[in-house]
Amino acid sequence: MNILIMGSDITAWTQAAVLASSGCQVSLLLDQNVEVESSEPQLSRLVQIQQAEGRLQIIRGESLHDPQTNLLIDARVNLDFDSRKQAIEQFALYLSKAQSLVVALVQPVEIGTTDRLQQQLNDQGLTQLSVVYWPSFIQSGRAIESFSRSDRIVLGSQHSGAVQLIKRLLTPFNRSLDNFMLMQPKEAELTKVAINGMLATRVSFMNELARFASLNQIDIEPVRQGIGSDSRIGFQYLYPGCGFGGDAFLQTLQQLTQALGRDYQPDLLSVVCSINEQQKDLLFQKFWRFYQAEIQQRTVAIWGGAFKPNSSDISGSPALILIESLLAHGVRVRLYDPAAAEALSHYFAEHSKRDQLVLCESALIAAEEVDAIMLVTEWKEFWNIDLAALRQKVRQPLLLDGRNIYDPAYAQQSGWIYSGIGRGQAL
Amino acid sequence: MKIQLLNQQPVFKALQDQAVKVPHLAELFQQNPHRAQQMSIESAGICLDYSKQRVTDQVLSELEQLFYQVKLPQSIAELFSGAVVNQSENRAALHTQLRLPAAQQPEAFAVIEQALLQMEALVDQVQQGVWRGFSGKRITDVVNLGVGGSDLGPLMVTQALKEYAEPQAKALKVHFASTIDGSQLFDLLDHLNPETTLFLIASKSFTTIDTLSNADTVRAWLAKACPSETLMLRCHFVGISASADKMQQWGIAPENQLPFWSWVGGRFSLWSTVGCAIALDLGMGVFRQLLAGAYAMDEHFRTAPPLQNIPVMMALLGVWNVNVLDIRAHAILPYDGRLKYFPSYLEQLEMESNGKSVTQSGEPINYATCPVLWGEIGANAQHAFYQLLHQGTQAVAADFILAANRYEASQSEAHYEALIAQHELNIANCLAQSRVLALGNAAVEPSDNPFRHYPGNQPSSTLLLDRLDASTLGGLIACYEHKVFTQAVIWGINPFDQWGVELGKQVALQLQAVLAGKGDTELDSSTLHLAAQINSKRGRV
Repeated sequence: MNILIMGSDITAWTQAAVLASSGCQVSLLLDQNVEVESSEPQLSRLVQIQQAEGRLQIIRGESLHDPQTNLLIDARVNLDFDSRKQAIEQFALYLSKAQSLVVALVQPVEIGTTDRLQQQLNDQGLTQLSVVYWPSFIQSGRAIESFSRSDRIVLGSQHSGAVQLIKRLLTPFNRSLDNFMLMQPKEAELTKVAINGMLATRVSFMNELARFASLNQIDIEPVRQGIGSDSRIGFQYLYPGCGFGGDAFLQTLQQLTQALGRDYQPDLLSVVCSINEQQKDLLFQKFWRFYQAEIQQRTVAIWGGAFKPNSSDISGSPALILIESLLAHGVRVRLYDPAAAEALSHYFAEHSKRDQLVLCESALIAAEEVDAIMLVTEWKEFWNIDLAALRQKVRQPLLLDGRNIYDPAYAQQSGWIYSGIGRGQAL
Repeated sequence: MKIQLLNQQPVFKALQDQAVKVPHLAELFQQNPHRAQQMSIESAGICLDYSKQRVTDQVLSELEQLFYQVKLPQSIAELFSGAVVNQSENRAALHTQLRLPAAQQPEAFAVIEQALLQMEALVDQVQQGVWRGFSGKRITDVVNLGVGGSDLGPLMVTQALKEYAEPQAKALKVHFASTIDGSQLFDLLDHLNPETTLFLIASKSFTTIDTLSNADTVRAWLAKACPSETLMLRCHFVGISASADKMQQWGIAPENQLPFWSWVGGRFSLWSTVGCAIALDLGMGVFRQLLAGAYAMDEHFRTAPPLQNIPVMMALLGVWNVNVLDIRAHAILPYDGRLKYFPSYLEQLEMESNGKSVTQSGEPINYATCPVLWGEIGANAQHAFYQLLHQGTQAVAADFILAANRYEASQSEAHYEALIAQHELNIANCLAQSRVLALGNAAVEPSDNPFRHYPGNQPSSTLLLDRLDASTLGGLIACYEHKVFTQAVIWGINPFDQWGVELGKQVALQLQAVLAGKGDTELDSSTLHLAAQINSKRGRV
């Protein structure tokens, strides 16, 4: 099968590499002026292999007109309807009337986009194009696996031919269990954004509980386990923390918030988002309270800048908000992240207080002579660090754990003033 | 220097002689079809149409002579140069200096831009979420505690320019509390969060009892939530005052003190750091535009010849109405809901400035000064006091204020057409009312029904703005300030003191003691009896 993929984010790269590896001939057309840096080592390797095998071709900036293409995957993000339509039209102009083409939108879109696009293409006589909505559930950190062994395949389509084509394409990834769900495009569009909305709601609800817990000497951890043990609820996305991030996730949330907020009713999701924004500020507030606002000239270690472990992606990461606030108050920041240091350095390159930010080679180096450690991303290497030894490195043993990875009792025994998210010690 | 009284000016007699010679406004319009074209002045986005004032060319020429006879050019120069124009308090009144562009500011006044930059930094911190409350949370609400000039100006401006708020200012909510009885605070404190509320205490002397009693209530409210007094003072109070000492004594942290100066009168202070609430609510850019608009009006006032000078004409016509035509009431009628607080603002500006009966040097005067001035949004006032204007027994002068353009930013809204229709209806009402007030019966079909008799001949001016924005509002306020100053010079009085307000403050102190049962009993029986009744009703005999 001949596939053209437009886009530059992790979804575009993953689909390109994985589909090429199943024998498809794939062209990946990158957005112009986008710097591309795959944040997943495994994925980068797969891309290289597929390029070497000649099944994956990477093109940048120019439009491509391959009349052999059977499937056009539109994985572009942050695009308005008209620009999206324009690029698809451009491509379709070179097709003969007899040549059919399936156009699959895979990124979150405004509800109704698929049908609207189909309608407008039809109106222009491009009836050989079948537009479908095939949402991607690729997760950064486990990109390849989340695509090739997806829990479910959702397809919003009104064209039986397109359904057959996508089904055939996914046969190698859908063998053990047929989890293919066919629905109307609008239904699929809503499904995609609603999943993220539900997950975000769970997290923000846990954060709200954690806030109550911290004020009432309750440890949220056993409570979380108790809640998760109810089979109707389950354990996923019940972790309170210092805020969730990620471009795709935040973008879908924003879209859904806008869609739901349209009738001027105060909607649940805007509260969910505002709780998340407050969570991102939480570690700063604890630091402020601990030092009674005397924070100027102090030094803080931040452990983790990526919005989640195993990723170099910093988009929407709580670390950005934290660093911004700390710098604004004249605090020096020593940051360590095993993968995202470069992205952070780039992000703060033009900041007027850039000189207060030091990027460190290791967690221990970052902790030297600091007045607090703020753990933002739960990289595996932080979990079993020797807290007693670490205690010797710092000026003040204040450990603000934004991901609840340490046992409060153990941290205290190791000489730390410890505060997690809702672990029963208000700070 | 002995001040020459208005009624001793040579031209004053001539003006008085004119009073009986001026025909009814209906007739004046009939005599000269170009009257309006000849009687309108435009500058800085503001047009003054005074054709509905009861004046003739002769009157105007004599008013112009009056302008020179009282040496107004010299007085205006003195005002701008920082001479002691406020003699009873021995100081200058340099509100115009506050509006001078920074690049033109002489070294001696570099403090003005410094203070503005300090204010800008503070505003920026609050709007960007850098400023934190005691618990580390961002500020969501600001309450301006002030009264008189420290309240009315910012309140009026923020209400008028809401639609121009800059994006970074939109999340912040700014409130005002002024009343000594704590009513506004009582409502506010009920729903504000002490962790996220910042208070501005604005008082020139930092002793104003109204403001400081409100501040004390707030302090008690915050103290309950905040564990440390230092933290509370540092994170929740900003002082705006000409007295650094008094701010210090109250506990305002040095870095939270925004200065202004003794040479800025309270009712002329919105241009100083007292405008902090404006900048917080609308953005520093809007505040700077307000200053620029006022500066444009300052330049017009300073340089335009009297009959082409908007504030001077407003002043001369006011003197003509009060002292010659004996019209002792003046209504301010903005046909614009955004100018809801503009009449209250002018009530203070005009009546506190010119409600005087002695000259600059303290001699009594024997003619009228400031008229009673009041007002309301015009279209609403039509359903309230216009009856008296049309058919009552009082002669009343009026200022109609109107913006030609409106709702320009809402052109894509579905209800734009409807809004424009409302705007046009409003304009029609404004023009109709001033027309009927001037012409009376002549404006309509004649009728012999006595209840439908409209005498007319009520004089008015119309101030037509291109549009109401920061720049024209700045100009409009400056226009009235200069009108007030010009009138004060003509009347020979000091517009910059307010001794009349002082006595009541002193007596209030005596009466606090009486209510506490410790006061002297030498007071009048009315006051003593009322105090006793109050104590009895409160169970405090």
